[in-house]
Amino acid sequence: MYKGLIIGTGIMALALGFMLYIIFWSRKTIDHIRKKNLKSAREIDKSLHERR
Amino acid sequence: MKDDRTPIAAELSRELSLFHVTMMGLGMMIGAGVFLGIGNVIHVAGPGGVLLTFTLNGIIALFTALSYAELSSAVPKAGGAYNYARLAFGRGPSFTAGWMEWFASSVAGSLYAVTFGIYVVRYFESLGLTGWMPLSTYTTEKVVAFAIAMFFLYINYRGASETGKVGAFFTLGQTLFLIFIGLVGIIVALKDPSRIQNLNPYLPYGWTKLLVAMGFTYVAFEGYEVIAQAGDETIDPKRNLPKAMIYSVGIVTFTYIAVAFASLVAVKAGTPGVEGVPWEWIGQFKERGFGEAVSRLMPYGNFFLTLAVIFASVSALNATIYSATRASYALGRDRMLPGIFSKISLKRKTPSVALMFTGIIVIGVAILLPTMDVASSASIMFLLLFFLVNVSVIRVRLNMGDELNYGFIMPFFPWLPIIAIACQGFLAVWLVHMSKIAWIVAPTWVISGIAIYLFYSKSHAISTEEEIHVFEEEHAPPSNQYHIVVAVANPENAIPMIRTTYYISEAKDAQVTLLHMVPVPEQVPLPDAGKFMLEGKEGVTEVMLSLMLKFPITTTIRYCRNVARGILSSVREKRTDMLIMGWHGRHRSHTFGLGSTVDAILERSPSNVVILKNCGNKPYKRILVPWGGGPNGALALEVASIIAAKDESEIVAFTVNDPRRNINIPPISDAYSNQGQVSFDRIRFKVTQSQDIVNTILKESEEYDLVILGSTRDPIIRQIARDSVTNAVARRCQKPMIIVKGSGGIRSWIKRWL
Repeated sequence: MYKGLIIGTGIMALALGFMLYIIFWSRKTIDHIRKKNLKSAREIDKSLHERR
Repeated sequence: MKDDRTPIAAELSRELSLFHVTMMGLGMMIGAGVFLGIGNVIHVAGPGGVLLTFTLNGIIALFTALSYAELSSAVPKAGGAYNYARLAFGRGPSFTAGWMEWFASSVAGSLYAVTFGIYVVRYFESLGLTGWMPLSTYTTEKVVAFAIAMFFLYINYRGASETGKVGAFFTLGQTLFLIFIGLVGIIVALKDPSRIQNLNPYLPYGWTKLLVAMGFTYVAFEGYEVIAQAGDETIDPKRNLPKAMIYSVGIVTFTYIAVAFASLVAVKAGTPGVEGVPWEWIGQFKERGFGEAVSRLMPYGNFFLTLAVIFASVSALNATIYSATRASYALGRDRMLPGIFSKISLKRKTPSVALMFTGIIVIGVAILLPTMDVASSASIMFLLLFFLVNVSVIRVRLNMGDELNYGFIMPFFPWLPIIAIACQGFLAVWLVHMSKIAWIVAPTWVISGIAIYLFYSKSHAISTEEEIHVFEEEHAPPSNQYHIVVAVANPENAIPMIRTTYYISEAKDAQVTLLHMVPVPEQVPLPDAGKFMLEGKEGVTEVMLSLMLKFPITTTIRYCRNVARGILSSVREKRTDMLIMGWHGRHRSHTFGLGSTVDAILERSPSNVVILKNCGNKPYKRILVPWGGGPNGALALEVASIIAAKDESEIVAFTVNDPRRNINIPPISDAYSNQGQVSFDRIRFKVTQSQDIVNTILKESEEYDLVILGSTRDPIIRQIARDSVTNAVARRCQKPMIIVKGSGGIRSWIKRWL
């Protein structure tokens, strides 16, 4: 009876979790780019690889 | 050509903070649509449908917001999608983007002005204060719409600061109201958990209806465009624009979900006046459903809701007027529209003429046309714009990623924009079913824009710094011959390439184009680029003299800011089968594997690539081909065979097995099954065991006259992170060397298109 509710809530939790992850990742990345004074996409990509 | 540029001393002033631009985005998103939409969505898709609709739309919107964020951080100028399309695709598509953007934002503004008129008049009607008025309700609504549009046109004329502050005030009010409703809903559900039963059955009409609901509520997530338009007026735009876009989508998604949840739990089953299941009861009111639910949640709910709709309408109207004005200003700035559109009021520092024309559209549509139908066509155009932006972000990153100064880049590139393109394409098609007039208005506006572009903008548009300009060009007659482009930098670079080019061209029976890209430094205006052309022209002449008796040769000389982008553009345009170019062999930056030009060419060229390092004009008797399998290795053997056939050389295919790794390197015959020009009888195979592959190859190369390396197929960024064998050998090897990369298949097709 609650199958739809459980699946729907699960989808929402996953989607909103992913959204929060992207938002916080983006915030951190913008500050990282500023702090390191990075410019080109290649430079930024490389720096993000190193950060990981 | 007459230059109709007029010197404009004034520029837009930077006064908008992160808070202001975030509020502007929220203001455009939280229009009246969401208040009217919640009841409709519950009616169409059920209780779970409304929650999933806002969640999934929020995710799709976030993906497009990331594209906007990346592009706006690199190009923080008024114009938004127009600027991005210009960078990615050039003048024609960018004009269409700006033209659509101007219309879509203006018409959305008309819709909000009319909504404001309707709700204000109804509010006064409910208080019994309209009886004395001589005008009909319809006319009064239109008069109020006209008045509010005029008020916000004036606010926009006053300046960005006023626009942002006034808009922020209204937006903050409505957002706090929505958050308050959401919190009350959560508290009510915590106090009475039985109300969670209202969410059951979760999707009573199935998943198809969920998609329907997503289609007509997606407009409630369109707000990042206005933030992009504020690029010229935002403080620290590289940081604040992307943050504002991402924050606004996040805030709006969580707020919508909270409000939808509050609506669902607001009504308790079995209470007086509530017939049947609560969600069905709310849904039956459709547009009024949200108001009915809120009135059960708190006293004076309907009153507050009316105020919220009024607040929402004015903040969205403010944001759309701002956005539409900047779109037409950008078209005027680049002379896509007459220069008067870019005129800036010296006193107010706002684009006064663009604002005036925007006002004419907003007021004209609000008063004269059936706004809902025109608004549907505006929604289609917004979705087309987003489609264009999502394609542009991929193309710009691939082609100009090394040139632009980014403040943000998105994760999971390019998958998020690709998903957004697919989802928005579906939603755009769905919107077609909502209004037939939209199918007349949208194409009419687009076609009129194309006509204006062809008859006016094309001949008047100012060149941008990023464009590639043709100095001299000879066009070869169309043929099916194999086409080789030889990129020549100067005489020193050209002469060593002649011999190898001659061999390959002869073997392929090729038509040859000599290309010289003139690199013009940033500080030199492009009209003065002719000074930098001389050396390249000499190089082209040298190669021409050597090859012209044997092969059909054409030449082209172009200039642009970035050599790699210029060469790649020519390779695509000329449908090239093979690109041959020289490499000096110096490696200056750790950001690049081999160099800024060579990396970009190897990564993005849709044709076969042959790069020559330290090659001269003496014969090569012993050729080493490090063999690790794969299509690039096969091309290396082909090039080796072509040279060996002329120089009577011996080829050694050299494989180094690392005993720590169990990698199965395929035999040459497997990698080279059906392509013709490999001389297997000249190839000798040599296999050795070593843990140090790079040094083993370098040591082996000392005994040879020429090394031919197949490039790796790994993405360049992975190569830089792990320094590939190819790059390490290419940098350190002192012998004459050729690096090759093959093309073909879906990858080349995508590269040619992008």
